Amino acid sequence: MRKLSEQELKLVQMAISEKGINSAELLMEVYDHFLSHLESFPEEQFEVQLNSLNLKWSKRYCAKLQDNLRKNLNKTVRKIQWNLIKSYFSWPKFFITLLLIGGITLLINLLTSKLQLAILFSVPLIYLTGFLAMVLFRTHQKLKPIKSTFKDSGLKINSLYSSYFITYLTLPFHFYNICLNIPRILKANQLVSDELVNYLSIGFCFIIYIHAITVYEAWKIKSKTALI
Amino acid sequence: MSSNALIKGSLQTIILKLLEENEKMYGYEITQKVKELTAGEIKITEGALYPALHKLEAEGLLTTEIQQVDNRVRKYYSLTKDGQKEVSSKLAELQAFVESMQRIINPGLKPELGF
Repeated sequence: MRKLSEQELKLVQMAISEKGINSAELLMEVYDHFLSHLESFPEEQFEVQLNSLNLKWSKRYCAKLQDNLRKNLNKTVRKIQWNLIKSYFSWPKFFITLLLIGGITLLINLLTSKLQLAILFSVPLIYLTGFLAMVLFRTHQKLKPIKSTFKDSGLKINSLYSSYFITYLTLPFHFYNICLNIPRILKANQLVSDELVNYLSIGFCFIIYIHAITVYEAWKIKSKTALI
Repeated sequence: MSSNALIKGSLQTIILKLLEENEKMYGYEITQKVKELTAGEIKITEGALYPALHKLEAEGLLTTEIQQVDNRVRKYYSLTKDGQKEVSSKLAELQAFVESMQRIINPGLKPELGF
């Protein structure tokens, strides 16, 4: 086992950059694989071994691997989130769920103005915005070593986990626009009775709270081991 | 070298068994360990290994850990609690399959295989 020279490291980085990988999770794994392999051969064989690795890790294969990894990571987080959601409907967490629904119902019945209702909805949205900022910051910190290794490659390196969480964290904002803003713009909000609006508000508010809690818990689990 | 199709069918079992014995391993280490244990008879290709590792992680059988090693970041794989349970069932499944194959290939021989 030997250490590769700076020149050799540059050649490896260049070779990997040409594969078009922009997922930090895959990039670090491929880079480690290349280096582990090349370190076990003498300097004279470096070029031959790098070429053989290049042939095995073709651009097409890397694209397929990255695509599958994206699907698998999404599946992993969705599975964690779904298990967390299910846990809120089984004892003893079910008690918290009932309290949450009861609390929201009571609050919505007590609220008299639209402003108060808007405040109730905006609490989880403000929380999600803050959480999103934190996810972005933490990901930026964790990606620093990989980005600095491939700084000359011109690759736009991202964390697949981070992309997934950002998409899911912004979902309630789209939901808010579709359910509240678009009907208002189309002047269709008067079609729904006030009583129904109350029930819908309870339902929507509960979904947003559960979504915010489970995304946070899933992030807490994955942030211990992943680039997020 | 053994047939790739035969290896592919038992790759998940090989990975789970190695991780059961070695606590945590990284991708390249797995390929080298298999090569070493089988005296070069079985060579796991990158094309098969990484998709299998990512799939096992997505199924919740493996968990990952990132560590800074020398001049790079390394991703280690280890078994989850579900993965630990899955090892014995996968091994039993493979053992039963090998015994059945033995009976087909060599009907006179009574196989006594152990993992």
